[in-house]
Amino acid sequence: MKHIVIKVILTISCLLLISNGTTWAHPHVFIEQNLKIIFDEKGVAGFNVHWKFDDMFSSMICEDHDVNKNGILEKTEVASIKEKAFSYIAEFDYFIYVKINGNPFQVKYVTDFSAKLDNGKLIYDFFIPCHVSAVKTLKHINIATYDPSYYSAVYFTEHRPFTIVNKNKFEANVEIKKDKSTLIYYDQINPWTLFLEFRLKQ
Amino acid sequence: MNKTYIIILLLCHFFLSVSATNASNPFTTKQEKQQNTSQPDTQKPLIKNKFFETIIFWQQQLRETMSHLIREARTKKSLVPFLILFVSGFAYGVIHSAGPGHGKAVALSYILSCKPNLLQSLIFGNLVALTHGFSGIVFVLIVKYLLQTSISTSLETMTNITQIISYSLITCLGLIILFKGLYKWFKNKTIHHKPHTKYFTNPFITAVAIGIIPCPGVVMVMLFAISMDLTWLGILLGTAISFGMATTITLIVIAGISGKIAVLSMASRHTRILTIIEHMIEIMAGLLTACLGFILLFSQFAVV
Repeated sequence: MKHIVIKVILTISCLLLISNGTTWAHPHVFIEQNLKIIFDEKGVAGFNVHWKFDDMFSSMICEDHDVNKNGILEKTEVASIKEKAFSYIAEFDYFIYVKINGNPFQVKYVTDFSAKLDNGKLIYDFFIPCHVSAVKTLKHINIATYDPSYYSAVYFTEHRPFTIVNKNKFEANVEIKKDKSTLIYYDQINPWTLFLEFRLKQ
Repeated sequence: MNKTYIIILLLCHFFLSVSATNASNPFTTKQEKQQNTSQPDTQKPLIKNKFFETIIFWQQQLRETMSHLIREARTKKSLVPFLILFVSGFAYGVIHSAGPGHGKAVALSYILSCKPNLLQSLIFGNLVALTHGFSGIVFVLIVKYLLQTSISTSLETMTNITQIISYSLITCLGLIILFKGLYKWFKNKTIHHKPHTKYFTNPFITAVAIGIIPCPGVVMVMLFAISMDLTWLGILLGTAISFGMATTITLIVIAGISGKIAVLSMASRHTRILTIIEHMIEIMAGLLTACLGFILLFSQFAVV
């Protein structure tokens, strides 16, 4: 009798958990990413994001936007892609979640967007302005990239996942690892995150 | 405690408890900002499993393999890439539908509330997945060759329309199950074990209603094959993916039925308890199916 009661409780709890589940989203788009950290005279100026999409998604976007089907994206086609296949993710902070010394920095806009095709694969490049002045003590910036709607999966590339530009005046260390303090995708995954620490050269 | 039962429940939990948010492609659809999108959860999850992360990785690898093999199939005349391609497509379908969604939750709720035998359950699970996959194939062929219009816009429109139809039907289905369960509860009818087909009269309409939304995974594979001038290969590959999805959903449905049978068989010695449990399962499944359908339907109108 005791076992039956436990099983019924478990079944009901399972059904309740099932009811929490909804529709059909799961990764349909796969993105390889590398980040370029740009320094200026004062410190960090921002990040250049480079996304390479999988063949399947690339062909879908090309089908709609490479109007003359020549495998090259012209200016008007890039503008069309920016408007209809990029700008909407502004609602999701461009999938870039930044923390400066532990405090969230919301990505509200990006600049220098470009799109091109490389052997049939769609590539997006854009810049995220994020000015953080360097001081004598270490400052920490964490950059996690993920699609909260779970439609896309974003990965750092294995080869050169990041580069640093103009860091002569500064000491900077970068590490890419899972952010154990953050959970995404239904609390199942710790996102891969770029951890940057930097300061003025001593 | 029956170990098999616990495993089944954990499997159900793993595959079904995870909640998805929206099926729309965020790149090509304007969406309302979701709450807490920029503030991910920092609490410990109930269950955290590396397998979830692994299946995402495998999907990426299989997608890469498929696109590589499709390119190869275009140039080589050997059968080897085709065979590997179909195996990859099938495996992709299996893994793809093991993630959140694909109607598993609704299918399982429905199965739990009805009394199908194993064959009927297999038909039901397969129909859901095959409809989901084949609607993706048909959708691409219609949009590409008949309508000749924007794929991504059409996919969003088609998805919205089919979602509204599907979720409305799911809500109605849930309400029917709920009211049937309540009616029996108040009438205090006794449970009979023989007529297992009594309430499982027409699984086809239900399965089609659940699965009618085109699978974006199949749509993208089809489009890629078409871009390589291999439409026929896209259809075959879409079919292989659909059968892969059918395999996973079938396994989930069987697991659900096994769980239900385990509970009922444990209680079979106590007729009164058995009656109460079966009534409760039916009412709960109906209520949750109706709520699920209504919430999904409401979210569609909220987005629109």
